[in-house]
Amino acid sequence: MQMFSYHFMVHAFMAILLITPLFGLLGTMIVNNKMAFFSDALGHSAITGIALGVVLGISNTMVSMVLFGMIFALLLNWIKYRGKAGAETIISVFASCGLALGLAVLSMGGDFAKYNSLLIGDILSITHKEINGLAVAFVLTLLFWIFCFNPLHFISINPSLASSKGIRVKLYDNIFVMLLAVIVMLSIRWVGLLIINALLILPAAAARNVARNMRSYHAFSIIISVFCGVLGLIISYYTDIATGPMIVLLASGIFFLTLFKR
Amino acid sequence: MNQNRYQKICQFAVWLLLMAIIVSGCGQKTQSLRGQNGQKQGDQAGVSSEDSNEKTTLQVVTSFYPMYIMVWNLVDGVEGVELSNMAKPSTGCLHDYQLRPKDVVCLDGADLFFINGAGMENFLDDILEAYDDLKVCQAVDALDEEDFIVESEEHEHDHEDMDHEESGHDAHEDMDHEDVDHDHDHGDHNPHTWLDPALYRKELAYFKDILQETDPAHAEEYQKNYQEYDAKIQALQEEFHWHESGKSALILHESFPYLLRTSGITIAGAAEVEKDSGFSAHEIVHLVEDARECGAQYILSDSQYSGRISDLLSEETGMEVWKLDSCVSGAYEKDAYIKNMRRNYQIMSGGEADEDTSK
Repeated sequence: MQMFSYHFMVHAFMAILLITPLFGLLGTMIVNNKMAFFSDALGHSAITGIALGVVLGISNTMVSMVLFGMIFALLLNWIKYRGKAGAETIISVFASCGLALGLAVLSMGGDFAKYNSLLIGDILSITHKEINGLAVAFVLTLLFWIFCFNPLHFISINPSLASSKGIRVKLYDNIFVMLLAVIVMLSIRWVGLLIINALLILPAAAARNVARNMRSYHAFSIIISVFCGVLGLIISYYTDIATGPMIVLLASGIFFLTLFKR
Repeated sequence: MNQNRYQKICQFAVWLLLMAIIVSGCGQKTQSLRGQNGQKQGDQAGVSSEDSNEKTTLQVVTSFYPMYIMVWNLVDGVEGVELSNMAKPSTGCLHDYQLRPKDVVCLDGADLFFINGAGMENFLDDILEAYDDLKVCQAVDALDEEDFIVESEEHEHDHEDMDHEESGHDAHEDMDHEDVDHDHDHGDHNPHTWLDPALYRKELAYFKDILQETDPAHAEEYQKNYQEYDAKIQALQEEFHWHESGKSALILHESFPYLLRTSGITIAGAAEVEKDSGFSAHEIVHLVEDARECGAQYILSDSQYSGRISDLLSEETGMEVWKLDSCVSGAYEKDAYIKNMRRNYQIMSGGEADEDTSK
């Protein structure tokens, strides 16, 4: 294949093969727990994390992003557990507030253009070292899934029953959102703030339309996610469409197809 | 109900705390910036607060970093001159600049406004109409028609087709005189003239003349400052001896033609790509292919950008990346221009830059 004679294509391909299955996997739990809004807010908070890093003088903004993302996730979870009907509204308020704060700080010097790549994503310029970071996240998520899937699934079906069976509901949930925060923050530079949530939600949502049981739900979600990622990159190679939006467009197309199938 | 309210207050407090941390952080930053700035302004201006009550000071504003450094060197130590800079020194090139209310405020009461011109400060056009009394001085007015490098039209925002300039360093041949509008409209001209020390010196002399004209009482001091600074730049020019090296470079920022002009390095191709994101793989393949085709040995990347695209191109093509400074950002140091230009020349002449490149 001629397209793999370019290093950047190989790198982007590897990155997509690491990111998309992760998203497919995490997406299933997000959709089950009706957390689509939650993960959206988390994505928006990335920009606050970067702004914090800039303000506090942390040269590696990835650190401030991941830390802030984890704190933000726990905060959102805390609101959620207060069990009030208005949780969605409060999450939205937090997300917009965080986003505005980030934009305000980053645009203070009139040079927001520098952070444009954060909005759209930059997967084509990913380097070897950064792929290694994603690989570590990939392994961690797999391990987490292997050991924690059953309790998490139980919680998503019936939290009070799970709690009565001795499962520490809040602990598992907090670990899950922190993992989610780390994955979102690690991949947001490559996928882009504006479309990261689409990539988390769409494959799982589409899979849910066609899956018959938990196993096929996960399998479909991962397959759809990887398929869209790879095909999106290939289409982007032959056309002038940026990679990230192309992947999301494909995933949306598949979602609508499964909607009819249902 | 009570507990609910308590929780709400708690939550609000946490949020306030977060905000407080962030805001105090911001505050510190601007304060230190202002402190640094103010101190230097104090140094150069020697303005006391009593003076400013009556309008005895000459208020000079510059549009952005390179202009500030230039004018600072002229007015340094001159009594009764207050110098301020509009865009923050971290802004870089002004192409994407968004005007803040503060920027407009700083023009209030200004006597002289030094800008680069030639389209660099396009965002000012409407604002300046409101300031009839303000004397706006464009650096590019100091230059002759043949000093400019003319940009070809398709250059702008066209990532796919690089213009292959046959002999970019010798821009005089590329000039198309028919296209040039002589009525002070430098629209087609590459505005990054400060990167050619010869042009920089012309602009410096021009600004000095304006200052002397506006503030004749201190004419001698301006002259003295001018001579000192001009001599330094001349020394820089003489320090490096260029000869036809047969080297050629692919430039990723439109400011570099001026820098390369006298260096004996030809421009094999140009692509204005660094500040953009959201490429398709297709576009990058084109970039890589064009870079290979143009046969350059070096990629010139502007150190104000992330350098991701230049690194990517370097990996694909094996070309060496030179990260050069277009002198549009950095700390407020009087010798910043000379320092950065010397470092650029050191890199281009094959030697290692001896100074720290971090900012």
